[in-house]
Amino acid sequence: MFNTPFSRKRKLFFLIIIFLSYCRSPYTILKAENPGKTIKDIQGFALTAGNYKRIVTLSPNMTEICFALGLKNRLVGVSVSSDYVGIKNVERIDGWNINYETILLLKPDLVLTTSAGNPPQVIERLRELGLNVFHTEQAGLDGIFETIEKIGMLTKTSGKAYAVVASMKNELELLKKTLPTRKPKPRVLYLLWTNPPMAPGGDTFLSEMITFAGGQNIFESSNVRIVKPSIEKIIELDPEVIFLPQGVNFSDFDERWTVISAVKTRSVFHVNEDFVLRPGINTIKGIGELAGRIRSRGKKDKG
Amino acid sequence: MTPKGIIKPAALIILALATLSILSLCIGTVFIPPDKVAAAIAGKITGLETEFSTLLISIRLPRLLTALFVGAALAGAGSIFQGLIRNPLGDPYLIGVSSGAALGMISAQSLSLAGTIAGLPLAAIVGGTAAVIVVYLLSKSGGKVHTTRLILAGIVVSSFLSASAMFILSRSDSTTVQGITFWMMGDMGNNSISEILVLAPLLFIVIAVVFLLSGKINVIMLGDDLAAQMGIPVESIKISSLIAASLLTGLAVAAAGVIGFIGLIVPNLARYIWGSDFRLNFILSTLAGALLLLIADMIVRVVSPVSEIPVGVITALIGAPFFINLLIKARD
Amino acid sequence: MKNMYQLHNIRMSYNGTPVLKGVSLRVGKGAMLSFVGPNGAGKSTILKLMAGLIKPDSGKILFSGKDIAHLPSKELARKVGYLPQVNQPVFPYNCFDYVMIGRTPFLKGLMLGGDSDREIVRKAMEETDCIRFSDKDINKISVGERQCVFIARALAAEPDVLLLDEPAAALDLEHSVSLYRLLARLMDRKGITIVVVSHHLNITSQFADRIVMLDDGEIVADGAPEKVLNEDLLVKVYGSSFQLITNPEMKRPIIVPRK
Repeated sequence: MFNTPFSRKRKLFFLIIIFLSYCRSPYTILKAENPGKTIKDIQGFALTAGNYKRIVTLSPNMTEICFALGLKNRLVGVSVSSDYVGIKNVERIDGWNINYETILLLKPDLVLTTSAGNPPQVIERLRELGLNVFHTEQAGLDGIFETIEKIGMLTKTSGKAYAVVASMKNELELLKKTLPTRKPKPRVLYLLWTNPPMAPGGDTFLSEMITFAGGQNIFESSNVRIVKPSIEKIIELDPEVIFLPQGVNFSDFDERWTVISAVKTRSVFHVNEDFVLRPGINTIKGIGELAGRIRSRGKKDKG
Repeated sequence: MTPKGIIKPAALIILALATLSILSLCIGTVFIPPDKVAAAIAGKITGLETEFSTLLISIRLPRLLTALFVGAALAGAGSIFQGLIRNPLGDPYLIGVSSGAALGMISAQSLSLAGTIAGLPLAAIVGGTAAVIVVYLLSKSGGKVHTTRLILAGIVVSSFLSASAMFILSRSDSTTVQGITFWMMGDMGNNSISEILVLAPLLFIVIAVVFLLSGKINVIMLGDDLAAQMGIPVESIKISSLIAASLLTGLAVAAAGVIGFIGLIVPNLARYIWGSDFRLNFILSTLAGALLLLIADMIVRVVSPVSEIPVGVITALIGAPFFINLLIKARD
Repeated sequence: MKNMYQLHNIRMSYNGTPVLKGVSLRVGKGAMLSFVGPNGAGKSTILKLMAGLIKPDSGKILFSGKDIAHLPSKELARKVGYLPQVNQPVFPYNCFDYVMIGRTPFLKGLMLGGDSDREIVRKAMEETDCIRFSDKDINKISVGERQCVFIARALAAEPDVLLLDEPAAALDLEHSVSLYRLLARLMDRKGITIVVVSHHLNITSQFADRIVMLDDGEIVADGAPEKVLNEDLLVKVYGSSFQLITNPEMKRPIIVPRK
């Protein structure tokens, strides 16, 4: 039956039909992924994907992600340090010294927490109170992308989530192209604090960001998360670029710092901490700012 | 010293406790009148839950119970230490118990040994008791515990343990650190009813045992030789009391973190009002300690509803001037 | 039993230093015995041994014929009242309650004491003339008054023997004499055997029936003060020259220094 010329057309037709049935449009793919699907958070707790209408974020980067996913109007409570996005008329909750009564009275159907923003006992207690807690960790760029995608799946905004992630990845690629390829990379000191001086060690996301930005964290080889170097150590490593925390001015430093290359070439900068220190939707912008400052560093000794 | 002499003041404090307990269930981010409080709690049992049932059962009630237990435990431990070392400056923290308990918990946390409900409290008790044993051994000489040596040993051990705890914290990742740093100042809202129900029986047993021994401890407080000659087994009772005090402190630290000055203030206040007989001082200190911490916690909740001040700050604010006052008086 | 105590060849050392080197003696009923001697002679140690507080390295102590080492301390405490050298409570304490502590060997539980115990305490305080301090804080009365409260405490056990370690150490002349008069009264009226350790040889000699002088862990004199105290003994033990004169009224020796 299948060897006649007419049958060959039929075969092809069947084959095409069968092939097409395996090919689905992105929309149907998404639809198929989300019907009552459960998403696991970083602690292994699974929540059902749904149209959550009363969301509480206990970390500013979560607030920003919710805004990016178009969930602004579903927020009933945000962390006190959520300042980047304009929020009005929403209850503020401290993610550390937390008032459980406030959260409970908000009757949230979803609470978004992070390991950097909320202590473990708070997470545990919120679960004990019967709340739906979705806990994430943003260790590195992959962690950020995964968080955005997972929250997207959870809140049925996968479309937006993929778009955001794609746009971030795109931005990162564009950024990479602007980076100078010349080695060695300029030595960078990022000061998280000045009294005493504190800088990120090698095993941190911030250090990674500095690398993405085309620089080299002078404490890259340290395996402590936060390094507390002496001034002598900083002078010895002689960074070419120094980033200062908000609120600290270069005039606050004493003369011992003047022998450092970064100071001599006036390459001491501030960056928007909301972009750089919050692993979230603005992280690539943060890397961009770092890269821009690093690139603009002075090469000559300006006395 | 008659039974009435104990029962009367005790009844007074218990009355105050009952009143303030009800009040503490009413106040918070929303004021719930007492009748609604009763309905909400009853509702959890009968199944007719009200909008406030979870709030009361899962938040306010455990918090109330935590304050009562931790206050009683800390004040009780302070009373024991002051009686044993015969010094009004005796305090669970001076003896190194709290540092030991804190180190125990931090170590367990870092080594991820804190699996079950009983895990961390056990670590705290073990840490606190170990500290007490070391301090006791250091301060013993010629078969007896000398007061001055006990205080000195306590300070030394306490400093060493605190330093060790800080060392472990500096080496661990930031999430654990930040979580622990907050708890180190006292966290009253961290317990669920089931956790309290696990710790409470032990607390009651220890308080009951010490109360039953308080007659003998009272004699020891008046003189080691005096007590020994009259047939009281001084060393074994001293050891039992020290262990009891370290158990109480360990339980308190496990339940609510490090809260200072309750063990110092309450027994001294009780002594000032009702005299220094240990039988009175111990039981009234436990009751008054529960009351004081409850009041401090209510202040915290009313004054800082959003970013809660750790209750250890309030006790320190009241406690430091009190402590200075004691030091000045002691100079006379 | 004629003898309250029998001490057989008691040896005792502290940290390798011998304190008592083979002391034997008998203490009869109803008299006042005073242990005297220079510092470090072992006087307090003997009292602690008799109170059952410490055990000798070797030798035996019998109380009313029974070996002290086999006697439960509570049982001994009901018969022997002991007043250590240092007594003063650190914290404020009510005098009546303080004397009630003396009933400890008889009390149970919280040791609050019943009506009969309160009666005994009252009597003890009357005997020692400190009943008027019942409601006062023991740290707020004078040294002499406080000493009476301490003795009342020891008496509250209704003991057969009172062991007092330097009871008059902190007292002025008037109060020392009052104290010894009280002890003599207790001995006469209630037949209590009194054993004191004393530094004040003169005062104690006026009242004690028997002086036992210890020097370097050994008994060097034992007997009635007027028989036992002589100048040679004093030189040997105390190392300076003294002479003895006699108290005209009580006929007891008094030691005065030579020029």
